[in-house]
Amino acid sequence: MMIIEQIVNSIFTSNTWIIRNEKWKFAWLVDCGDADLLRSALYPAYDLKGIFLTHSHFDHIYGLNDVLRIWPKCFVYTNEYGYKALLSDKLNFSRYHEKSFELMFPENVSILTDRGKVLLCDDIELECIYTPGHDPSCFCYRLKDCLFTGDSYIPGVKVVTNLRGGNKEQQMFSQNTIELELESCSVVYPGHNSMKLVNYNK
Amino acid sequence: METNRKKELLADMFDVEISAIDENIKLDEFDGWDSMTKLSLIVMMDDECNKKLTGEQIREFVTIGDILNFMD
Repeated sequence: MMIIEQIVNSIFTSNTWIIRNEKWKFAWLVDCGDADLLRSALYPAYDLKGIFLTHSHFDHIYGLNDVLRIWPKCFVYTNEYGYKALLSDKLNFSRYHEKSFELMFPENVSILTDRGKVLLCDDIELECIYTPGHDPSCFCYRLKDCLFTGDSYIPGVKVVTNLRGGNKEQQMFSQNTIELELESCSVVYPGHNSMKLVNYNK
Repeated sequence: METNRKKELLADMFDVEISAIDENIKLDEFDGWDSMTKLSLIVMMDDECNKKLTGEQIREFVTIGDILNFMD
């Protein structure tokens, strides 16, 4: 059984979503903010297997170096643009914050492609859906009837496309992709704010 | 940088028509003057104007005209 928990991070109140498997004591993250909160929640009971990045903006990645020091075999999933942004404080925007961030463990990165699937455990797969518009590194992740949307879809909030790398036309296309996915989903886990039930009256 | 170019950049950033970029408009009354737009402004200043903009300086901006003047 998979358990999903929310951590609200200190920077921009971004979310880190923890996916835990109680049986095997494995865990995965969607995005990575405050490492101290993740350590308290998971260490040493759980083996952190992977971190799925919804995109490479600073508020969704800044805990990566500290988390990878705790779990050095953990994979970080993003696309080629995201990989470059993890290594550049200009592309991930951290140079405009108080603390610059650049990934110190690039060997942990695994490159994603659209509609790629990652086997979590047993027969449970996570599907990676490319949704550019907010940023060229944007992915949504589907786990059974759950959709992790990052900043590509936050219920009730207009998607930001005016940061460097944003693209309004791509976002419109991605919005259609996300809405199609949502038709067969039950829960949305966005990059900010709370999870939301969908289709509960179907 | 020409005034029209500066207004184009701000219009893109605020996601409005260029005609809406009026120097006298107060930023607090401008729809979309939020934390993400302020970050976008810092990035745009770096990319387009080669200028470093701090949070302290942003807090001193009162009108659209203040931003346009900073872009000179």
